[in-house]
This record gives sequence, structure tokens and C-alpha cells, in this order.
Amino acid sequence: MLIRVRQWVFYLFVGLYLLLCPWTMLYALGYLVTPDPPGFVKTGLISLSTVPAGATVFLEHRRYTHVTPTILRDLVPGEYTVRLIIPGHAPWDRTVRVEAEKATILERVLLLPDEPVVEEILSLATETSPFHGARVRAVLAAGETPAVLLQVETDEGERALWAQLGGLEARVADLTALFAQRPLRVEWDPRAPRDLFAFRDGTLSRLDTAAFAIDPFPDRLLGFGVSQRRLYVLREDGHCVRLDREGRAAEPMGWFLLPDDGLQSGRGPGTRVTVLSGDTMLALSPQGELWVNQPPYTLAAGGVRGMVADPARERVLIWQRDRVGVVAMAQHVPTVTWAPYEGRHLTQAFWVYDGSHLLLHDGDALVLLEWDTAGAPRARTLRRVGSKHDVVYAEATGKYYYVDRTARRLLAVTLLDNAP
Amino acid sequence: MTFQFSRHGLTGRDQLLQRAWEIMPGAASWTILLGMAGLALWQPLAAAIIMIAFYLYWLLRIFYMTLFLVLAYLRLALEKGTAWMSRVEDVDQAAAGSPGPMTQAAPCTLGRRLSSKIHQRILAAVRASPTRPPSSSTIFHVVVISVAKEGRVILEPGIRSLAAQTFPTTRLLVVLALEARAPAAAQADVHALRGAFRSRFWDLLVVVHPDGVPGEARVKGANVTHAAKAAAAWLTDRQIPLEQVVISCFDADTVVGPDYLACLTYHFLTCPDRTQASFQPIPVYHNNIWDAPGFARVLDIGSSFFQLIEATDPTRLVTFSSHSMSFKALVEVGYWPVDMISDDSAIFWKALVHFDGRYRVVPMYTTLSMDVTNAGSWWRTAVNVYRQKRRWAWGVENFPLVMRAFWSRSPIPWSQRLRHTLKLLEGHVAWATWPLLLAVIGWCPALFAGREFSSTVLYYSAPRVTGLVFHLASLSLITTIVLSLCLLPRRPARHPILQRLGHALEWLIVPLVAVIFSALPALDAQTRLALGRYMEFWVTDKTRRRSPFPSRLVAAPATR
Repeated sequence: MLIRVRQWVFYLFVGLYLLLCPWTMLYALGYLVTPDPPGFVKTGLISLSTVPAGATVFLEHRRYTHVTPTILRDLVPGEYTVRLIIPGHAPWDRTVRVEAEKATILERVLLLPDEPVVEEILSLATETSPFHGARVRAVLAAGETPAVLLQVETDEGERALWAQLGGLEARVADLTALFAQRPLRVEWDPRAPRDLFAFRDGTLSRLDTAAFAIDPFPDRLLGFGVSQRRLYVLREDGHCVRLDREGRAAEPMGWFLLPDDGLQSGRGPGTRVTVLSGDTMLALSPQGELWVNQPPYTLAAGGVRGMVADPARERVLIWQRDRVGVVAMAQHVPTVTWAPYEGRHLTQAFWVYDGSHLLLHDGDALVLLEWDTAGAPRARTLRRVGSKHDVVYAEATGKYYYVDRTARRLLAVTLLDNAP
Repeated sequence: MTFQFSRHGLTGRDQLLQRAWEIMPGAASWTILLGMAGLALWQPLAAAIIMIAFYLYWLLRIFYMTLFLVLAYLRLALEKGTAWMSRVEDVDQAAAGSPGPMTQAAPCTLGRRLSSKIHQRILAAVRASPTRPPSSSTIFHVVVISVAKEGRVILEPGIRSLAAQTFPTTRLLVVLALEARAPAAAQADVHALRGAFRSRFWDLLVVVHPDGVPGEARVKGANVTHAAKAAAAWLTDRQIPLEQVVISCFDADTVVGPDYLACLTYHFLTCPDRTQASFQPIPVYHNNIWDAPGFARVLDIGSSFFQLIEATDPTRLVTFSSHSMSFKALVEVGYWPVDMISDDSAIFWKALVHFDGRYRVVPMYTTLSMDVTNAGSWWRTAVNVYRQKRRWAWGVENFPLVMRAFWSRSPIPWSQRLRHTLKLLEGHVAWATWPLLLAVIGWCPALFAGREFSSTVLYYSAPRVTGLVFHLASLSLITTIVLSLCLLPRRPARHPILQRLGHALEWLIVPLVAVIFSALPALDAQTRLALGRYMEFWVTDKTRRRSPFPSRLVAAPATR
């Protein structure tokens, strides 16, 4: 009897499988059964995630049951208006196109607060401050580090202040003794901020902020860069070498195809070198030429004002005076994709929120531009921050920092709630 | 059908066919694994669809198996406490044509009533059968116990359990099949046991299997065959017809309950084709289950469950580990193979081929107990478990032999051949591939998803489907955990309840254990077979802290 039972159960399960398997596959592929007319329709979906999470979702003006992060499934192909609302933040909406069997990805949507919180991180106006009365002349930052180098002007002359951000107030150290002359450029590795590297007139020096020591490098250089605790220097012959922090253990890292006239044309000193991956390096000359140490060697013949690498995705953010773009290095031939944004006077740009947005310092405004998103990317002006001083953005804290109009206060504004 | 059930001595076409069939299971397994991995890289969309279909198949399959596991366990529980000798007497009465009352008292519980009902149906079939079974008083038992290097600590409990049988031990011949290469201490123990227990049985023989016999491999099958031949000669000298003898082949650590031989006798008598049948009990590993590491325990309980499930389909049941069969059939088919490691399953296939498909295995819903692999330290136990499972998986060596026999003008009905072929191949391939597909390769499409795949509906739906499948599968896992706790023997006093709870939680490591100690050994064995790297026998280390049986198991009084 058990044998008979087993046979019947076997056939039942076979029938169940033959019924469930195609139905499950169709569901997984996004097919929906329509009663009228009877048949199947291919659907798509919208994947949503926001910062901060928990936004209420409205799809075609109808409220959805779930909050972000969520997936809106079983959508018949067509255009949909998605609106995301979270209390205390500006609503976000977008019209997107849903295609059959495709996922429309609206992830890493930044919802901006109505009233962004502005914090005073550092004040030179406070009477108790040792630098009371000083004015900020320049702000220097390095990558994602929550630290800045401020060049301030006091009655006694110029001073260099090192400010560690990240807390409610910045911790300030006076590094003036390390800067006999104002450098053309200062850089440091965010993971090793003890060592600063200052470049001026073809000479590079390592400034040990703990020992207060200056260690000049012997060779004249065209430029340098710092990445992952290693120093990359560009020699006058176009060869790039990797060094340790003491300037030893030189490893050749390829070369850049510099223009034949080299230094004679005034190019060279002040070239910024950045490492994208183990073998790929980029160099940006003061004249705006962008080079790479592998074919096609020249990515831009001029006009590039700055670059920020995104090693995780093998791409580089570059900007010119009026436009910003991304160079995709992973492709066989690197290509530049320019953002549909017309700037006025771009001076800085940053990757924000894991490369999904760009923060642009355009003239005196700070603009947030959506990058990795479905639909037309939108630009939103965040704040007027002036054009005299550089802005600093630190992904680690999710804040941007700028000097106020009085040039006496360093302010911080939260851009990312729950910074990654 | 006359067929040489061996891969040795083949020439020409047979040799080519043998190699081709040897390669097939390994090739199939590797094709599935590498094919799915490659597809996940190259066409993740297609791979994800195939994986969904597989997950669904796997889910329904484990539901199916769990259902029959529960039914089999209930049947096992039904028969627990059955007085098998009384039932044997009922069979004798039925065979004699007497419709008289059963010797047992009227059953009171539902389980007892069901068990009784099954028994009554069997008795009705016996009465209606044109050929009546012989009287139980004319049935003899031979138990062959193979000894490679085991000592008294391992052997004695099994022999004691045989001495305590309800079946008259005056008709029980115990044969200790001792390897000549066994250590001197083991040999001394065997002889000491003979001296101590000989009087409890019809006789207790020690048959030493010489080493290095031409044509034999160093396998258990050679040892027990040598012993069985000696037993056959011993029986023939005493004019005992072999069709009235049931032979059981036990491992050195096999311990049986007091009713085991009575149960075996019952099934032998009530089986219409008793001289063309094997009898398979449910193996459990309770001798030292509380002393072994958790992963070894989980694995062996899983093996017991697998046998329980297999028992529900006697048409495709194959002998495994300790088993019994008609001695006449054993002699007719030429004894166990002397050059194969998997003698336990090979004897079934050999008999099936010999009798042109008219051979079957009768499941017995009674248990016999063996040791969980335990080599003292955790690491050594892990190594030993791996090797043991690989040896079990080496049962794939039967596949090419069976295929050559089946597909060479065999008179076995094609439906039966096809059924066995599919089960044999699917069983081994699933053994080697399913855990890896579920635990590793199934995640590859999502891991290697490029932009093209990650922007599809399937990329977002697949995790949902997978999650639902695994959630539902956990119902089966819970059922298995509950049944394992029911099946486990009563815990010794020194293991607190919390430790028993820990044993239940051990089942959560099944995914890892299944990959390392099930799939990989199976893949290893199949690959070796495909590459022609045949395995030599390796005896599993088994240790016990103490005897598994309490002192209340007192040996039956001497029968001489």
C-alpha cells in the first residue's frame, strides 16, 4: 500500500512542479497575468532607496504601502511619476520610464533637509581664540579626509593652521613653522595625515607634523600625488616613480607622454598625479592637460581644472570652466561623459554618496548634481558659499565645510544623514 | 543472466564500455557544476532562471522526502516493541493452515492496532499463497562479522547482542571473518571472544582470510566471501539446506536488538520469493552517538534518515551497510565481490542481474546500531569522516558494471532497467552537486552580475524567490530536527538537557556539512573513478569511551 501511496504522491509532486515551475519563472521574469484581455503582460519594476531611509513613496499620486528602501513591482511599461516625501526634507520627484523586464533604478536618492543644520566648526572671531582677528586666505583639503589646512592672515603675518574636523568643534594645530614659504600645493594621504607634502618651484618637501620636521626631496619634479600611503612623483622626463613616505624604495610606475617642449613652455611644475588603480595613473598639468600612463596617453589637451579619482569604479571626475564630466577608464578606450549641466565658473567638484552624486563649487554656489540615476539628472543649488575660498567635502562625515563671508568662521553643513 | 560483475579481466569492447560508463557520473557532475558556474559568468540571466527551476525542484523533492521520512519513522515507531518471535509463531500457524488466534494479547494503542492490522494482512497473504513458507524451526541464521583491526571493545557488544536474541541461538552460527593482516592484539581478542561466547551459539567460527590472494583486492567483500564459503562448507557438512539459511553480513561495530533475528526470520518467512531477496534494516549510529563531534552525528543521522526514506520504496531499495539475504541466493550469485569496496550495494546489483531482475530488497522496520566515526580529536575525526563518506560514495563503482549488464541484451524488463539507471545516476550526481549548487553556485549569478543583468526584473525577483524557497525548506529542516531528537537514544546522565538542545542546533550547520562531508567526498570519488584512480579500502577509525550498552543486557544462558 505504501508503494501505491508513494506512486500517487510522486505524480502529484510532478504535477505540482510542472505547474509551479513555469508560473514561478514567469513571475521572476516579471510577467503578469491579465484577466482582460486574457494573457500575459511583461512588467518592469522601480528600485528605490533614499538617504535618509523611510521616505513615503507616491506612485502616480497614489501612496504606496511601503517606505524606502523598497521595490515597486508589477508595473506595466510606461512612464511613471515617483514622488518621495520625508518630513523635514524637500520632496523629491521624478518621471521615469519603466520598460518590460527591466529594473528602473532610483537608488541612492538624496533627500535634502528643508533647513540644513549649519554648525560652526571653527571661529577665528572668538576673543578667546589664539588666532582672534585672523582671516582665512585659503583652504586646502585632501580627498575624503575630515581635515583641512587653513592659511590665515594675522597681524603678525601668515599662519598655517591644521584643523581636524569630524567633531562638534575642529581641533586646531599651528603648523606655521613648517611653512617657510607659501606652497603652490599641499597634499596628504587621508589615512596618514601626519605627513604633509608641500610643493613649490619644482621642489617637494615632506612635512612631519608630529616631529615638526621638514624633509626636502632631492630631485626636481614636475609634480606629485599621494595615494594609499605612498608618494607618486613625476620626474621631468615624464617618468613616474612610487616612493615610501621617506622618499625611498623607488618603484617605476610607467611614464607619461609629455609634450615635446616640456618645461620650456612653462608646463610641468605643479602637475597633480593621482592613482586610479594599481597600474593606472593620471596627471593633470597646471595648463589643464590630462594625461594617463597608458594609451591613449592624452585624455584632454587642455582646459581641465581639476580631477577626482573614483578607484572603486575606475573612473575619474574632471571639470572645466563650464562643464563637468566623468572619464570611464575601465573601457578599452577611455571615454568622457559630460554631465548635462552648464556651469558658470567651476572651481571644485567632489564625488558624493558613493559616487552617485556630484557636489560642484560653481562660482559662489554649491550645486548638487545627480549622477548615477535614471531619468534626466537634476541639479539643485544647496547654498551660496562664496567664491573666494575652497569648499571641503568629507564623505566620512557626510558634511561640507566652507568659510563664511567674514572669512573668520569655518562652517559645516550636513549633506548626508547617516553618512556611509 | 550470466555476467561477470567485475571490471577486471575485461577486453575489447567491454573494456571500452566499462571506461565510458566509469567516466559518465563524474563527467555529468562536473559538467553541471562547471557549466552552471560558467553560465553564471557568461549568461547570468539564463543561469538565474535555471537556478530558480532547480530550487523549486529541490524544494518539492525535500518535501516529498520529508513526507516519506515521517511515514517511515511512524512505521518504525509502530513496530517498536513488537514481539517478533510471537509473530513468527503466528506465521507458523498460518502456514500450517490454522486460523487460530494470535498468540499476542489484543492491542490497545492505535500504533499497536495498526501494526497488528499489517501483520494480519501478511498472515492472510501467507494463507492464500500456493506455496507455504517453511516452519521457523527449520530456519537457521549465519551472521558474518568482518574484522580488520577492531578489538574487543568494538566487537564484544555486537556478539553479546547476538547472544541475547529471542530467536533460538542454537540455530545461530556466528562467523568472525578475521583478516590475516589484522594486528596481533585484534587477533588475540577475536580468539578470546570465541572462547568466551562459543557456547552461547550453535557455533562461533573464526575464519582467517589470508592476505594477498590473487584476484582479490584488500576489501571487506573478499574477507566476508571467504568466511561465507567456510560457513557454507560447515553447513553442508551438517546437511543443512542453504535455502533455509539466512546470512547476515555485519560490520565489526554492529549491535542489534534482542528481536533482530526474530524480525529477520519473520520477513524471510513471509517473503514469497525469499530465496531471491535481501533484507535491509534501518542503520542507526547510536553506539557512541553522544561521544562524537556534532557534525559527524548530523551526517550519520542523515544517513539513517535516507535509509528510512528509501525503505518506503522497496521497488528501488538497494542494500546498504549491514544487511541480510538468503544464503542460497548468495551462493548462486557467487558471493560478495572480492574486488570491490562497495560490497554491500554491489551484492544487490549482482543478484539483480543474475536473476534477470527478479530480485528485491525487503525493508525491515527495525534498527541495528553502529558507531559514529570518532577518531579522538576533532580534526582526525573530520578527516576520517571525509574518507568514510568518500568510501560510501565509491558505490558509484557499481554504475558502470550495472550499465554494462543492463544494456547488453539483458532480459530484465526495460522499464525496470530504466528506472534503476535513472535512480542510480541521478542519485550519485545529485549527491555530488546539489549541496554545491545550493550553497555556492546558486549565488554566482548575483555575485557576477554585470550592469546588464543587475538592471533586469529577474535580478530583483530571484532573491525573493530564493528566500521563499529556503524559508519553506526550513519546515523540512525543523521536521528533521524533531525526528532526529525522537530517534536519538536516551541521553546518558552526564549529558544535560542543554547539551541535547545543542544537538538540535547542530542541524543548522547542515549547509556547511553537506558541502564538505557529502558533496566533496562524492565528487572526489566520482572524479577518481572517471580518471581511473581506483580506491583502496581504508578502514574507518572508531573509538568508544565505554560500552554503548548498560550492564542490564545480560547474555542469554548458555544453550549447550
